[in-house]
Amino acid sequence: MKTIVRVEKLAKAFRGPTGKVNALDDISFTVDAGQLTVVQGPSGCGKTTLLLAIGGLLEPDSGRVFVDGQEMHSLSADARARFRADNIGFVFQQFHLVPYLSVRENVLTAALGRIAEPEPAAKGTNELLARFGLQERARHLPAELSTGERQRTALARALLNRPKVLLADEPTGNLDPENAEKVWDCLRSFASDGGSVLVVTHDPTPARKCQQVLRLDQGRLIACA
Amino acid sequence: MRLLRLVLFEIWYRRGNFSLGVASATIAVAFLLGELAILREHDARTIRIIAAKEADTRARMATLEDDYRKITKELGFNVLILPRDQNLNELFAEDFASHTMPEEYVDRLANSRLVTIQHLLPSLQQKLKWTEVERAIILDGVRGEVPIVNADSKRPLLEPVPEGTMVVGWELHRSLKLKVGDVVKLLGREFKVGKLHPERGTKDDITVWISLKEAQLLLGEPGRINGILALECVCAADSLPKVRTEIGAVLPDTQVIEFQSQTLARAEARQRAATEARVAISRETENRAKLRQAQEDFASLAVPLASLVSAAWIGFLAFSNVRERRAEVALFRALGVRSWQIITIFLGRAVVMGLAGAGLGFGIFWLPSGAWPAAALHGIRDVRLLDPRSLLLVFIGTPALTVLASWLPTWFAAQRSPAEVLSQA
Ligand SMILES: Nc1ncnc2c1ncn2[C@@H]1O[C@H](COP(=O)(O)OP(=O)(O)OP(=O)(O)O)[C@@H](O)[C@H]1O
Ligand SMILES: [Mg+2]
Repeated sequence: MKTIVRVEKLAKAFRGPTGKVNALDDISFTVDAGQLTVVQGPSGCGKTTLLLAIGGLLEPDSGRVFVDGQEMHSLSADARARFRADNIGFVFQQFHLVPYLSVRENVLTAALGRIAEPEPAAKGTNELLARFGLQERARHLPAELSTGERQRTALARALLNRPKVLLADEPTGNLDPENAEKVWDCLRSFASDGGSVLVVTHDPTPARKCQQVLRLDQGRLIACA
Repeated sequence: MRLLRLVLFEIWYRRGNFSLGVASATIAVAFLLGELAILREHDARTIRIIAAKEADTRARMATLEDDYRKITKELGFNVLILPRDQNLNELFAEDFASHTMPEEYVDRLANSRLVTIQHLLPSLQQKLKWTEVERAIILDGVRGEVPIVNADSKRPLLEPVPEGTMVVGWELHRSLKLKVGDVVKLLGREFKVGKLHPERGTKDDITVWISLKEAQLLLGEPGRINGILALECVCAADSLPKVRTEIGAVLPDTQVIEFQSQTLARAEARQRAATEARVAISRETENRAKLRQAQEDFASLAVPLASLVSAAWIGFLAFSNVRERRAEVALFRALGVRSWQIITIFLGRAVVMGLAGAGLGFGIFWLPSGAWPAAALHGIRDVRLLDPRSLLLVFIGTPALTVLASWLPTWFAAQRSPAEVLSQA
């Protein structure tokens, strides 16, 4: 299988009040196309930091990240943004929906970074809303949604541009088991369609069903299974 | 999805913050437009005041002119008829005419039925030395008034001097200590002092008047005179040419000059009145200009100050808006939205705010004047004095102001690393 994400000797340290915090310490691994990778570890071990660095939203101190062969941090900020829009989908634990836009428009914001055709974006949005059972909610504002509906909206937004990589930061953290399972189904189907998925989760059950598990502790990769 | 759509949705969602910004811009615009209207109204009123003053002056000058026309008509003006070959320069330099003309001329004039002339006074004048007392005097031989045929019989202006008597000017009788009844010798001939003139402050004060006949004898000019004073010509002041032609027709051998006429004084008075009016108008203009300068000075301080306060307030609102939208900005970055797009989203909001403020500020001024309480207008009669130039200024200037005020917070928002916000649980 083709390698989509390659992380080489990635390191990132933050300066805190108690001194240097190694959020990422010499981390290397790869994620192939169609592979679902779970990232696990205690709170503060650097999971979110890892996803942001892979997505090009955080500049590492050293090391390199390749996504589909492109070295992320050698690109300019705007080029990286364009690359991200085309290739990477993000799902956040807090959903980060735009509060003044409807569900439908929130999904469409993913197309903002692509100057391309609004027609396919609208079509893709309708398909995604149907797939996630959100047609009835299409015109609702985020504040009018249940937590599960919000997470599904965020997921639909991440998938709109058909990215090669999906980076999900505890996408099921706030969900009941039933909704969580729906999200996992979605992630698995994305992977089986050939996408690469990196999911941060504390949930031990789905981890057993995935192809790769990364364990982090204090910024170090302690296990890769 | 269009960026503008996003901007408008956000504005509606956070309409409180937006409304405060618009209100601030509106106040700045209203301030500017108010000052402009006041200044323009001031100019308009200045024009009205000056025009009214000028019209008033014109009217007053017209009545003045009319008055003088009447006055001159009643008083007439004086002309002096001289021999044609008399050099005028010499006349004024020497105080008398050296050339003479026949005395008969005055009778010819009197009988010619010239209605324009009221009184005719022939005289023979000469400046000479009164050898007996060693004094330079003007000897004036007068015949009294020559009655004019068909003229209303009026009291003669000048009594004739009886033969053998003399009338003495003030300076002469004062210094020679002459009294009425004294007998004095003049050029070898005895005269009784018949009358003493009071002080006149003219060459009359060194003049001795005797009868014309005796003067002709003394000066060796029998039957000759050197001037006819025609007094109170009944005609408009500007018709001297007419008088000239009339007299010239009767006495072709003469010339006519205007002489010590009251008309001249009146004309001068009129001129003075005109000058005074001009000075008054220029003073008023100056005062208005000073007033305007004061208002302009106030406006040039108040308008930028209002704009500055408004800009600071808008900047603060923009800052709080940006802060509130940190997660949104971070999300947009994560979605691959470019920094120029993020800047457009925030500055677009500022532009809409500026346009709304401009529209509102303008709307206030375009309210029908009936909707305004009279006191609020401060005498601004026509607030629609506003021209397209200030319209353009407002509709470009206000968005420029809001954009400028929002620029810094926006720039920071676009620069900020999204990681910090996104990593927070
Ligand atoms: N912007 C930052 N400045 C300073 N320290 C930071 C910053 N972001 C993260 N850290 C620190 O880096 C370490 C890793 O943080 P990170 O958010 O990646 O942890 P995490 O594994 O995602 O934790 P959690 O499971 O609680 O979300 C933590 O110790 C955190 O305090
Ligand atoms: Mg985290």
